[in-house]
Amino acid sequence: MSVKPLSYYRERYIRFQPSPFCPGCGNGIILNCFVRAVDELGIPQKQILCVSGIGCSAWIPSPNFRGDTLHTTHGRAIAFATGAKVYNPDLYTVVFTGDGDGAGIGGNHLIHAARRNIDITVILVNNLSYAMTGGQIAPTTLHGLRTTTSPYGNPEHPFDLVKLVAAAGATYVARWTTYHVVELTRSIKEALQHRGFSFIEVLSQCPTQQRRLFGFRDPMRRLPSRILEMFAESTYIRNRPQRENYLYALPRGEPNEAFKAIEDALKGLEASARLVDHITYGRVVRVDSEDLEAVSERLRNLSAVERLVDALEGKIELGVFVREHRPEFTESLRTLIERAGGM
Amino acid sequence: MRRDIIICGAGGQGVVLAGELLSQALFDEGYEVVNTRSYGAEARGGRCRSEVIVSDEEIYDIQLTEADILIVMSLPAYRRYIERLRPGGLLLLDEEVYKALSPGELREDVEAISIPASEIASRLGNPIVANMVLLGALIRKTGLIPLERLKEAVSSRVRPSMREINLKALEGGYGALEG
Amino acid sequence: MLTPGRHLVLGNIALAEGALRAGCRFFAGYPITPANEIAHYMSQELPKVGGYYVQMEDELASMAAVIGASWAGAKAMTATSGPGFSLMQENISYAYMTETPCVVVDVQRSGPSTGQATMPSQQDVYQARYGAHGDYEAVALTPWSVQEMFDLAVKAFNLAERLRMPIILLADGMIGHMSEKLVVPEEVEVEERRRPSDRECTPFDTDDPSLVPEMPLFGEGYELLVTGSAHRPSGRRDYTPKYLQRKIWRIREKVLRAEPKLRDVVEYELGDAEVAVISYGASARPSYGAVREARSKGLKAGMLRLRTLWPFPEEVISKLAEDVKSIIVVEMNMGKVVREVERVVCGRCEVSLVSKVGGVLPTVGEVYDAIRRAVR
Repeated sequence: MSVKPLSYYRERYIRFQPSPFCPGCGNGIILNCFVRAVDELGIPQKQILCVSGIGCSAWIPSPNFRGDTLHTTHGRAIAFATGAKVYNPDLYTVVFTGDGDGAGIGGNHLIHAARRNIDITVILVNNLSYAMTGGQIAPTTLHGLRTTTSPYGNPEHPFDLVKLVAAAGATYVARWTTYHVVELTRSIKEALQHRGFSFIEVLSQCPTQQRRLFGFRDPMRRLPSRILEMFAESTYIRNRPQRENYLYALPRGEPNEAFKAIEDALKGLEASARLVDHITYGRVVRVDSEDLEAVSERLRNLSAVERLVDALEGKIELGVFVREHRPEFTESLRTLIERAGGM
Repeated sequence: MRRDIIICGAGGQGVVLAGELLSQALFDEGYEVVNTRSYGAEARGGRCRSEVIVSDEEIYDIQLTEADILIVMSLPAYRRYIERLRPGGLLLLDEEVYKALSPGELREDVEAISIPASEIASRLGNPIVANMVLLGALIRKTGLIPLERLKEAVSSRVRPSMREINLKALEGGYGALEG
Repeated sequence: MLTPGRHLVLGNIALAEGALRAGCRFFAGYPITPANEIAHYMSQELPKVGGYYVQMEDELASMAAVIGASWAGAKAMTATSGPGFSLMQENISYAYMTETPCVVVDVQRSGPSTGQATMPSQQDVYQARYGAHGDYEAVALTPWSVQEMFDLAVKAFNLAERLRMPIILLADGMIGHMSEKLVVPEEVEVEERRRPSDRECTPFDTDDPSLVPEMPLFGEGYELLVTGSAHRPSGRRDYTPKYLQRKIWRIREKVLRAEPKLRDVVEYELGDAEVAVISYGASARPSYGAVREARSKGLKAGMLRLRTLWPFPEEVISKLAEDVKSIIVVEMNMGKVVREVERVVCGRCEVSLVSKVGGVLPTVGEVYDAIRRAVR
């Protein structure tokens, strides 16, 4: 991956600074990755059409990106994009959508576009709530989380969007986070080049809403990195060898106190413990050691430990899940024209 | 001249097709024609009717209240639509329907002609063409158009494998009224 | 496609033919009675002329795809009925705001709700005018015959291109499902949208007296900013009041300025009429029959038939109010156009209504009786 100065990308691809995003928003990272992907592929800007709906993610291309942008109604970006792509298949059509916009109100259009295998790229920014309107529960909000519309905890369960879109028929499906910028950029390049429906779910930080979702009390400045660290901690990349020499101790009671007790209990062992954020289990103690059996012995029955959890348990799998080829929709439409004798 | 014609029967009896073919034939002869159809929600078996308005002049009044001619292919259809026929109007019914009527059920103030349409159709090989038999009879009785016109409409609309039997059915109905 | 000449055609097919002749090359729709024949025909004919038929997953998506295709350069349309028309309103509003040329066909059926799917009404008159949220002017055409399904379909596409907006083709299930004569002309006049004259282009404002801006397309290098949010002439989102004020003024004024040309009414025997019957679409058929019967009996009745329903022909009706004693409005709803007539007439003559719901047309008899009562 070539590294050009940021100013190069700004001048060439971006208009209207400063951005409308909250400080620390993941959208800026995604725009950055997108623009680098486009540049590395050498796609002529006039051939790029970015379509977005309503929500913070919709602002990634519109009005910031210097290509054709179509900023549409809530949930319908994929349908608008379908019309444009069918009529002008030369357009590199990219849809930027959010978890609410794309999987909530727009869910139906998402699965049908995947089923059709239409050659568009959908980048779905998943910040786990309807962020723009104040952080209401979304179809991707984790069970139990407290939001503005789930003050007693979310009674619902989230989609696994990768499975959903893959089952619907998408031929390129990937999931990354805003922490994994190298992989994300590469994935966007693959998606743009892939002839068929490409879907990339990007787990993204939203300091504004996620501080409440996850109960992070830090000052705003510190939040983005804390969330990104949580993403790094709570995910693993498929088909890569995984380190297994650590586990998590879920604290009973206050995490800091539990941590002290755990540190004490581990004295004498070759083990290091630290507090981390786990997206499924919250604030937990991670223990790295070559001798996990000994560690478990010490911690299993400690009153400060609720239970022990394996390295990969409750983590989110990242990577490229589907990479296939099936007849693409606009090609099929052109075949109809041939059959009808219209060409 | 204006004639308001209703063809009615059960879904699947070819009521709509009969209406379309009759309309096409009348249109090709040079008349002004309006053809509407209506059916119940069921694809098969429900009630079905096709209305054909034929006139020398432009037709403005498209809603048919009283029919001059009623062609009936099923008993429920008879019961449903017989009141729509004006007094003195022409009633063409399949003999099967005629035989199934209760005593006194047949309206006395209309000209009723019973045609063994289903029987002729079965003899030809497929009861589905009973509708064509009735159309043939209609043409013979009213003389609105030459039978040729109707045959042309059938030939251009109906697929080759069914063409011959449909044409024979037209002739069968036409012939049933001779003498 | 049909050859030029005389054909016996179903109303919905005639409409689809007109669309194709006008240059429609993109159709997106969702199945709904009584509009399905349009979709079937388009799916069959569009590929023959290098066009695209896409069956979308619902009506919202259909309207969205139409707008997307229009900005990619297509003359695009969708066809639906009452319930689907309701679903499309949000995106129709988007089309007004973004000034996207397109045609929306509503083959009206009887409601409310699922209603009588196979039976006609004229109940969507106000939905065609006000269904989409926001302030805008609407253009809606109302065909009364199979011939007009063709002619007004052509006109709808031309108006869409000329005015850069969605045009509503307000048909009804009666005419849509009826077969009668269609004379297909040799030539059809076709209009195209204003295209940018050079590299610099303002897509969302203009000094042109028509008030219709030039329209660039995707893929031409204009770095278009198309958005449903309030925006500057460049397309850049901006909530400053003056921009939206100008936009709303302009999208309304472009229609109002064109109104004299958009006005499309048919007058019959209004010269010395004491009673005028006003109607449109399928209701106008028995109305016309009733007026002819009245005249044959010596009653001084006339008829004004609306082919362009919106913008409402206020000037014509206002003048009519001065000339006649009484106006009778005939429609298949509980009284919608009659309210517009009352508004315009402003008490200068009597206004009454022959209203029919339940999926049936008013009869010649009913309208004739109303004329007789009004004449006494």
